Amino acid sequence: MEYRLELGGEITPMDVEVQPGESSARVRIGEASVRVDYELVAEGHWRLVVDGRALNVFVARTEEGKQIFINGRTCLVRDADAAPRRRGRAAGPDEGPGEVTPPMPAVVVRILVAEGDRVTKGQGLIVVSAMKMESTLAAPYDGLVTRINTAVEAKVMPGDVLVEIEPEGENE
Amino acid sequence: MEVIETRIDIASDEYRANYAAMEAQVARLDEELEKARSRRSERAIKRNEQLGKLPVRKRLELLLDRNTPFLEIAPLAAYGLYDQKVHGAGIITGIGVIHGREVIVHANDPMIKGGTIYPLGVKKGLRTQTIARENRLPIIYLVDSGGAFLPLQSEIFPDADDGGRIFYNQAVLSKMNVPQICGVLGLCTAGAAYIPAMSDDVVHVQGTGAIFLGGPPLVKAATGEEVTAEDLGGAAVHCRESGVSDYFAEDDAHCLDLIRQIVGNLPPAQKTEIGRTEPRQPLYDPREIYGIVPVQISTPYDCREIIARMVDASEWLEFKAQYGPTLVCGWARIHGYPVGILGNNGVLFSESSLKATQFIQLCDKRGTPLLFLQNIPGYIIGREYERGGITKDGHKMVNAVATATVPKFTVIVGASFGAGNYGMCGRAYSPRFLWMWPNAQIGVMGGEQAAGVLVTVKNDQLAREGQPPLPPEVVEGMKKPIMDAALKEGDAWYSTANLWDDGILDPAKTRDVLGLAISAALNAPLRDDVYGYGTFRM
Amino acid sequence: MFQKILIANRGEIAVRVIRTAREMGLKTVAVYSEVDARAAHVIEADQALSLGPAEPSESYLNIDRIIQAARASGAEAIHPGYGFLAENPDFAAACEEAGLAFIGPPAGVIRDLGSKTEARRIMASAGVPIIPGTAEGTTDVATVRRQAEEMGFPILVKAVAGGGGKGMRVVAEAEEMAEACQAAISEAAKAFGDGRVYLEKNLVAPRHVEFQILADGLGHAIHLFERECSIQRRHQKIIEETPSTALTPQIREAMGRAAVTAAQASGYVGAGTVEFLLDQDGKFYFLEVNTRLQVEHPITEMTTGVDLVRRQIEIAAGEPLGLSQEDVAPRGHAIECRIYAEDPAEQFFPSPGKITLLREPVGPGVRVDSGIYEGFTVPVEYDPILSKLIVWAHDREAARQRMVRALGGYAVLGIETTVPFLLDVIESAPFREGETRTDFIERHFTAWRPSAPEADVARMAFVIDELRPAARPTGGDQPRGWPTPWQSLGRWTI
Repeated sequence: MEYRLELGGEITPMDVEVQPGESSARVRIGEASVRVDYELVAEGHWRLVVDGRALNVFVARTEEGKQIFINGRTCLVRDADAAPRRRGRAAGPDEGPGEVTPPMPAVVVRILVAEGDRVTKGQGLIVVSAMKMESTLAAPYDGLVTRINTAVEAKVMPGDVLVEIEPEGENE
Repeated sequence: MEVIETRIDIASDEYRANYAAMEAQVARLDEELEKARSRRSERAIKRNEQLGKLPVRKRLELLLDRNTPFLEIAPLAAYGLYDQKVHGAGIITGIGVIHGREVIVHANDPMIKGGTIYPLGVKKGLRTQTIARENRLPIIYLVDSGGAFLPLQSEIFPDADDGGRIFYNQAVLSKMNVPQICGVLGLCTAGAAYIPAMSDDVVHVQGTGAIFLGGPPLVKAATGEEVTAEDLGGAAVHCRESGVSDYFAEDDAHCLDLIRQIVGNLPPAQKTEIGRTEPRQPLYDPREIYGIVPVQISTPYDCREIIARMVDASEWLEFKAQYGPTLVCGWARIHGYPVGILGNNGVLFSESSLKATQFIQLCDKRGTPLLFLQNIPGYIIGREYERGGITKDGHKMVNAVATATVPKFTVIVGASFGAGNYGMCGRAYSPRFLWMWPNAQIGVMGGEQAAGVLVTVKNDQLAREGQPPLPPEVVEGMKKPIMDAALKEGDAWYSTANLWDDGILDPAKTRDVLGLAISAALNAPLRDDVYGYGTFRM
Repeated sequence: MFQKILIANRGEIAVRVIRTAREMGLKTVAVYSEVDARAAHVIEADQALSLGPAEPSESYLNIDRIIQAARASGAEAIHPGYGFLAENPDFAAACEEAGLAFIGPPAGVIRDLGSKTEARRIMASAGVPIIPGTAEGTTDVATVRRQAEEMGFPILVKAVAGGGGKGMRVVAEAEEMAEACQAAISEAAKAFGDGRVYLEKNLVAPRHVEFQILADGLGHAIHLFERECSIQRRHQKIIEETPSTALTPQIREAMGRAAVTAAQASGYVGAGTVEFLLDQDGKFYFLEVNTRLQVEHPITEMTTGVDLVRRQIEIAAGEPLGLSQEDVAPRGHAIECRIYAEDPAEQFFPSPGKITLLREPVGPGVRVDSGIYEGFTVPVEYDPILSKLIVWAHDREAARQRMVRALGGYAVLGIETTVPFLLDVIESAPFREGETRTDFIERHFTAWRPSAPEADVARMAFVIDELRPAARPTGGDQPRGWPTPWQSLGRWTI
């Protein structure tokens, strides 16, 4: 079974072949081929023996991928082919990098700019509060504030674009 | 429900000997399956690659949900036949899941003789359609075939159950509203052109997929016109001009993804509810079956021991335990599905036949699927029994088995001889699925008995002519070829090669196979036929 | 002694107080807000009463409702934990008025010491050294700005009522002053109901060393040695240890004496903490008195063997301390790491959500003060602290190694935590060397990025985990009920 896995923005092809009837698999990553013995100790808890080295690994399935814990460190691994399997036809307009959106559900505390303001990259636009911690959402690039889509005390979610900025600079 | 208590001593010499023998047979099975799955010529592999096509196993991997079961049907069809190179009769067939929905797949393997169709390939295709029809499973054809294997065309084309039946079935399946989706991943020439044409949805791969009634060589011979396959019946032609195909695929992977989307878009399966409970593992390791089944098929053993290693929590409720004890009947669950099990503990007598008839009717009435575990030397014979009406009682059982409408499943776990095969739901009695264990034997009667009968007939003839009976050395010489033939043509390998069954099973996997099969069977309504029976002779 | 006490707090500290109370044979009453109905402290307590909506002012900061809950449950005393109302003199006073024992110092003491400016005055007059700075607080940005320009930059803006890093800003130059000042005022007003700020000289790379004190109502006060709390991120302590690597026996003795003096000068009763800044020349300055149980109190408990919560309750019940300075002989070394629900890869932004898997470390010398459990949803409304991991060993290096081992086995999935960051800090050379100053994180970990676990092992774990079938049918139109073998068998062939 072939996979293409994404970890930290990097996509790695790999192939896993399960030995029938045994709790053992051969995993190929690039040129390397490694024997992995595995045992499901409890829900989400695997004991792996990778090339003779034993490790306890914890795996949580989330909507974004699998959160994997190994010796105090965690990472998110995604199946790059999960959906859809075919190679991409354009799936709608690009969500350009750097939208002004909170990284988690939060409440707007202060709005530092107004529509029509010129802002520079890194300038504070909106202060949000979540779990009693205030933090400032900054402008992702230089530009003109065309629209503010929120108000003080509004509850906002990741993905909500709070401030729309028309980029200025290199292109124009 | 009561736990079946085992009487097996896993430390005994007998157990160990049995275990070793069965383990060897399972090892052979695994080895043959592996060969059938992966042994392909370098040339074929290279050619497939050059054409930009994926190997058929890879196609299945991309088509089906990842890390889900694939219940392959008759993987060893044509085993030992046709130069021993036409693995699986050139076709991979099996039940798998797409977007969680159970479907049956029929895929040509172009790396075996260019995907040409052999007589047993037709038989396998028809069997696939029968499974689709009986269980209302959407059927997916992945077509990549050079057409009929011409040297054997007389065995492929003319008869009722030959090639034409494939398209007849497609029309019938369509009428029954069983979805049929066709991926054109290679050539679909002549008759094979009708597979996509008669499907509901056709996904056509550009460059490699082509549909035409007559291929370029035939066109040239007939009209002198020179034309390429792509130009004659490629994806562009059929998606843009003729309308023969519905979806244009850039390559194999794209085609398989489109099929997945089509399946995902079907209305949901209406599975029959038969009252499941939480699935529980058996208390005993299913592998212990290896040590239970005797090396010699004639050695009796208690069939409850194998039932205990198949059913949930090793529990069942035995029906009429003290009556007609050569047939055991009882209620149990497999993967949470209720089943009524009939297993042989010796020859069938009048009592055991009557018990079976009653039990089958009860299961049928209650909508409980039936599982037959065949290890049957036959019905009892002899003066006393004929006078007691064994034929009359055997008939009742055959009648009930034939006309019961609930899903039936048969596993031949040992002998399957004579009318016993009928009463215990042999292939002719339309079980939804029928499998064999590697040790199983099938025939009109055992080889020994058959040879004995022939010697007796000969001696009777000699006696009528006033001659002495055959001397012992002649008798042995006469018996040997008959016994050898019975042994060879009655073993599981011969059976599975000829598609008398749906495959040989590792006994330890029987429980899971049955669970998968019952789940698949529930895609059809419980009663596919009118409930009721013929007249029982009293 | 009381029969029943109410804990006016949530999370790990409430659970920790309940544990000692149970050991003392006291019944415990938890209070909770709507979102905490299934929180660990509610589950642990003998009895639990709802306060109201999630908003702190409607629940954990609502004095009336808490007093009412105490009355309704028949509790005789209230333990405030830390944060929320722990250092609110009005709350202490309200308890006194209601005839309930407040497990902490008297309201007047809290009021005096809670005002940073007043505390500085008391300490200065008792001869305890203080940091140069302004004497009065204000909410007038212009005033603060003028004062700052007089004192020079960099400078520290601090909330008069402050604590826990809230309402505090370091200002490097005059231009930043207005914005920083406004932010500090707004934060302080929101957190403490008092927006006033004052200025302090910003010491360069000092150490943050605090002394635990205990004083009974009969005038007897002792200290329980120091805690080194210099490792801070955004003025929030994240790692604490005891003893401090920076103290010589002489400095330790002098600071201990100053701490007891501070306690006595302020009329202190109960458990408290006197915080000092220690500069590079070994000079120390009074910073503030925390009139509550500190988050990091367990390390003192580990080295001294004194259960601080038990002493708090006994003192509140009017019992004498029964412990002299000579009785307190610390042993070995203890380290605490605070585990927060924060994503170290995303600038430590809070990471609330459901904990889908939890494995807490155990074994010799390991203590976990936790307010979570597997399946618990960490609410968005409160401080993101999940738990504290405390280790003890015979010396610092053994304790450090033990902490590495324990963090390596602390699996929390479903949300992000600070465990990977803490592990990197504990494993770093500067920490091993004891280079713990308040600029530790800025100096050594500003460009820090989480190091992924061994990537190939993680990838292997992913594909191996794929072999495990989904426990339950997923997807829109799957039939309900037990999974079919098609769903439960996973990868399977005949």
